[in-house]
Amino acid sequence: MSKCHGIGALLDGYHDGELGLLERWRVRRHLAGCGACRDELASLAQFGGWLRAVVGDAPEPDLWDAIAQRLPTRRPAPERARARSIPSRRRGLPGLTVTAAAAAFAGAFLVTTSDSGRLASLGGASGVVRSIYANKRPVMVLEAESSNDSTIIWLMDELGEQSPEVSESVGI
Amino acid sequence: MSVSRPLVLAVALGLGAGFAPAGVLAQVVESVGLSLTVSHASPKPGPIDPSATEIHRQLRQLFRYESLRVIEQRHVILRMQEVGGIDLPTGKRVEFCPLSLTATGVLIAVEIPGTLQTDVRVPNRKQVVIGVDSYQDGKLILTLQPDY
Repeated sequence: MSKCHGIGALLDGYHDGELGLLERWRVRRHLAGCGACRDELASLAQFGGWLRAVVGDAPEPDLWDAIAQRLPTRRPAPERARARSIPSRRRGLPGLTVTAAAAAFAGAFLVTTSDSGRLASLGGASGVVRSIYANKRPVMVLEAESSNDSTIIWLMDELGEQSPEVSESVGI
Repeated sequence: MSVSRPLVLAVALGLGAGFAPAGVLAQVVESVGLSLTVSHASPKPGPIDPSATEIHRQLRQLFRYESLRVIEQRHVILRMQEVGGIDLPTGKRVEFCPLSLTATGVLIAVEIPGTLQTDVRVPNRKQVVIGVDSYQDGKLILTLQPDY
């Protein structure tokens, strides 16, 4: 069950459709090989159905507006703070700015090289992908979670040509 | 009970390899085999190539496609720092070069000029799957598996 670590917390969000692309990929990949988590997902669905039957009506449409008005306003974090600077591994290639949306999740990275297009040094869960440069194209890196898995490096189409949703559905 | 000399030698070599540091391993193994497969995943209904079942197992939960065809399979043996290559149907060329070997795997530089440059440290007989470029109605997939 150790490989379920970190997935359990995502199952709720997966079931409710709240996860981002990377998280959905990760959960789906894990579900393919984990019967226990598939069962848990099934029970979540069952519980959701039961809850809807018991609680009944959805909240009034203006409920969220009322809540939102009472929340303090929060300024978005500056772009610079969200980007992570990773030093280049290769001599002659200076530092690189990488946006790793999935860096928080072991085994999954979304790498987008900066305009200057340098090489990113990575240290994933299994340590297979050591560095990557994809000429400004977004790259999905899914490192092997178990000995039966392969590490997957997936070059997506050029930035701006597709949304994450599109890349997932026609991402082959 | 007599023990044959080849058996003693084999045991001694096995023990030696077991205790050998990574540097010694790199010196012993001077070349690595690389199995390369170029496949095409397509949204058009069709068969899954029997020789691509392992790739299909890895990808079927992640991507939507209906057919998977192996375009080319090749096995090459390369010395350390030696560059090999394979042409893709898109006209691009993939080049790869084993850089070093340690206990955790062989470090391989993979380059598709203008498209991808990556270094991967791959354990023996483990696969790296690379979704490269769009091709026809689908996607070209390159898999790389070292054996040493």
